[in-house]
Amino acid sequence: MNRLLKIEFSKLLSYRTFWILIGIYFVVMGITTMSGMEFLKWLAEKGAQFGEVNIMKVPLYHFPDIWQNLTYVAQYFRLLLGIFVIISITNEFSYKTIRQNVIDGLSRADFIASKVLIILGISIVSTVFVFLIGILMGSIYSPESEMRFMFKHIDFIPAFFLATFNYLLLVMVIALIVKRAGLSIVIVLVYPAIEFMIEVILPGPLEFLTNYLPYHALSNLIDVPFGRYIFLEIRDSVAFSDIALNLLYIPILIWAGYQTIAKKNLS
Amino acid sequence: METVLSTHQLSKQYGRLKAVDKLDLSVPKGSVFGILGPNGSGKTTTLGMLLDVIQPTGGSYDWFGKPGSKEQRKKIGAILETPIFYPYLSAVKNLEVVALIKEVSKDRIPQVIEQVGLSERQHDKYRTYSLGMKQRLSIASALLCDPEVMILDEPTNGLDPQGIADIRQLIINIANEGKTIVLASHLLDEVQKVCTDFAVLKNGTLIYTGKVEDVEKGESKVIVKAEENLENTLANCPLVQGHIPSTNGRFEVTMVTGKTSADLNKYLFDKQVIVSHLETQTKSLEKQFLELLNENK
Repeated sequence: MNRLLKIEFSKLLSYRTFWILIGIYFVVMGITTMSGMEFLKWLAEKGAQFGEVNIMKVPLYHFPDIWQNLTYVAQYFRLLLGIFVIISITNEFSYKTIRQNVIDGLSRADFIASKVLIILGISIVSTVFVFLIGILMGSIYSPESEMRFMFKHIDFIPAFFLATFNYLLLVMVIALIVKRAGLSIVIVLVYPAIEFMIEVILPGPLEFLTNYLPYHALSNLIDVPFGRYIFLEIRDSVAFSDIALNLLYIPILIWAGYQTIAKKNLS
Repeated sequence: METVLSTHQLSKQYGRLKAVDKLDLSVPKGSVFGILGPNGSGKTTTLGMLLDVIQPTGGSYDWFGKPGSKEQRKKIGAILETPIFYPYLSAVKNLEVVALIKEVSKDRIPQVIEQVGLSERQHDKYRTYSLGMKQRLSIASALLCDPEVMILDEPTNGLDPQGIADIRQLIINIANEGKTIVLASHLLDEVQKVCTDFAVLKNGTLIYTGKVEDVEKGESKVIVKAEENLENTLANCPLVQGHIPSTNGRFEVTMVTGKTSADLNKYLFDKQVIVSHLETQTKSLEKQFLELLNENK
């Protein structure tokens, strides 16, 4: 385990593209998620109205609302991590280094495991980062009376982790099948639309089945939270069934990734 | 004799094309084993199967008497076709990746880089290297695990004459340490100079396997020139099987088995024929190779 992670690190630490992508991800995601109040101020100046509500009073960063608001917005930036995953995998095919890795004594399963481990690592770091932003922003903006709700709905943090991890595993499978960076990025971008098209095509009574597709499954973990500020009913917790489904997808996606190279000639 | 590698009916089929067909090879420990064959004869496909990057469609192979595994590959130093490294990493960083995969210490990295003469450029990115330097790095990488067996596929490809001579010397040095080397090449001269054993592939089938020294044995040919009386004397000489005129008044003489140019020289001298040119011609692998290919048309 440790050795596979070290192998992956020594491939990446001197790779500038890796640092640029990861850097952009954390900077952009950090700035965006921390500037919610600025955004509301801008909306107010433009004269936007949330019914009777004073826009500047919307408790975006109050505990416990912050966990769902923050994780929902933060997950939109995972595409940058996805691009990194695509590059780290398609490079191995375009440089043919996967072949040399196997010649040198890595098994195909080791290769997949090393990619899964780096994806796991990135998902953990990203989750910790979001958690720290949550603690920081929540502590700044929450009134004293709401501080006791600090860890209420903290379940959105593990849900964010699961959504990120499964998304990157899905991207990994696509990159392993396609093997070329540009095309993989395009497919990753249109993939949600493909699942949506399946939803449209399926007859009404069967539409619920699409919720079991991998992208639907990971997107369903965190519902859009903002409706609650215009008095719409939203689901403000993580459903156990969604967590179970996504946990089930972890081995499925890893297995699918392994199958793409298990019996292939690496030339 | 101990066998390092053996294949049993090893086959690879791509659609209708039989790239390698029921190959039975056995590489003795300590040998320098040349795999010869024209382009497309299945050399690289065979090595690819032995290194688990190409899936055989039939047959099997054993390394050190056991079926192939990743643990065995860690103890094999191998390069296949062109050198393959991460272009954005330096020689040292690339070898660090290899050391981690092979689970060997990084301490040997400076030593192997020195061995192939890359020290000066070791911290430059791989993509800035010339083909010769890339080739040297791949040999350094194959040496990194201090392997029991080395597999080299066209190791002198792209090298200049000095580089070819260096690599050849390196191979001989490694072989002298008692290591086994499997060398695929279409450069017959190279195989003859460094190999002890060789096999010839054609269209994926093994058409010959044997020792290089056996090629050089057998009836020898001698080129001889003398000012006078040469042809008559040769015609009556019991040591000579046959003679044909060659260029510049020379004769190409086929000796009776077991007799050498020294015997011929003594005979001619006794008959008062003074030789002005005497040269033994060893049978070249090239000749044997072409004969084999023609026989198996």
